[in-house]
Amino acid sequence: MNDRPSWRHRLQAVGLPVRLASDAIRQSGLLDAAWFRTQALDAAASRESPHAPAAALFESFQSLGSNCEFGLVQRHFGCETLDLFRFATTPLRGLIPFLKIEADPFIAGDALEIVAADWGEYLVSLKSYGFVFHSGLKTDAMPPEKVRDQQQRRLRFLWRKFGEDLEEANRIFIYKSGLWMTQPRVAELAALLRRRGPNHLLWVTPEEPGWPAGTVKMVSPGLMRGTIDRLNTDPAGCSFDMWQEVCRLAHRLRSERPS
Amino acid sequence: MTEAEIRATLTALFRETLRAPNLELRPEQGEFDIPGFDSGIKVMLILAVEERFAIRLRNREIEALRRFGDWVALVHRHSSPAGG
Repeated sequence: MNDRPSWRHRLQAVGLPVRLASDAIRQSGLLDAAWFRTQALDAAASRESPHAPAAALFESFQSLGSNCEFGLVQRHFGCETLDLFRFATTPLRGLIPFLKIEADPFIAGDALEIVAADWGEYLVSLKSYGFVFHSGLKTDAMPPEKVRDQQQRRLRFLWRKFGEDLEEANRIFIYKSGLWMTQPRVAELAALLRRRGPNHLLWVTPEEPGWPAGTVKMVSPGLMRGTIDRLNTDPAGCSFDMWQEVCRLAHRLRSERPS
Repeated sequence: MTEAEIRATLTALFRETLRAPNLELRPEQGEFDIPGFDSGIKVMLILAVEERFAIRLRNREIEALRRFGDWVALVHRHSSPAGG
């Protein structure tokens, strides 16, 4: 019989908020257990992926979140980047103000909320922007009182690295959305990325009339739009080959029109 | 700090971070071939290395880390008088 105290009791004992990932989050597929289930595959994926030659292509892209799908695609192709939003939910309404700030948003002690998801993982919420990050930490693997400090250090490092990535402008940023997202709104995001360097944003949506899957076009300076056949956060349902094709085309397009 | 001392200190940091007290590391060993290594562990290792050696690693340096020997060489460069 397992007599270890449950994560719920241990969280309550140290005064951390005890909350499950909301049904709304899980049902939306924005952030779910799929990533956590595949976390154990991390090293194995990089080592054994038959797609390793594609890893270099995917290393030249950086997810701005939306959700974890592109991070899972990178993992499928044996690519393991250290990116702030690789495994995070980042609504655009939070991402736009986030890109306007210069001060470290993770430095304040109360900026982060630690949440225990019902699949047994700690999640980290940056409340003021509506972001939720996977921690990769099982709720029974580490005392909850240590989680906040460790995650704060991790996110501060990734924030610092994100800033360098923006200034170096070597990688293509990716944001994906459904068809409900308007181009002017995404163009605002692209413009913010270009305040720090000559960055490119690849906006990925499902296909629609006039935009068959596998299309990539430069729609404005620094903003490419690409389409795939389906969006999915479950590794079993990701459109891996189409993601690869869209990234290949975007990489070529940026090379032809670099700024 | 000699290269051997750096290698020993890094081995200790890897063992501690990976919770693998008997871990043996070879210079040519790919980091993702190390049992338990993943991108989350890599972040924690970078933070530990920066703190232990009082250095700050840049993106370009981090992205060039592929094998254990790269970690040793990078810290050695930072530790040498002309290092970074």
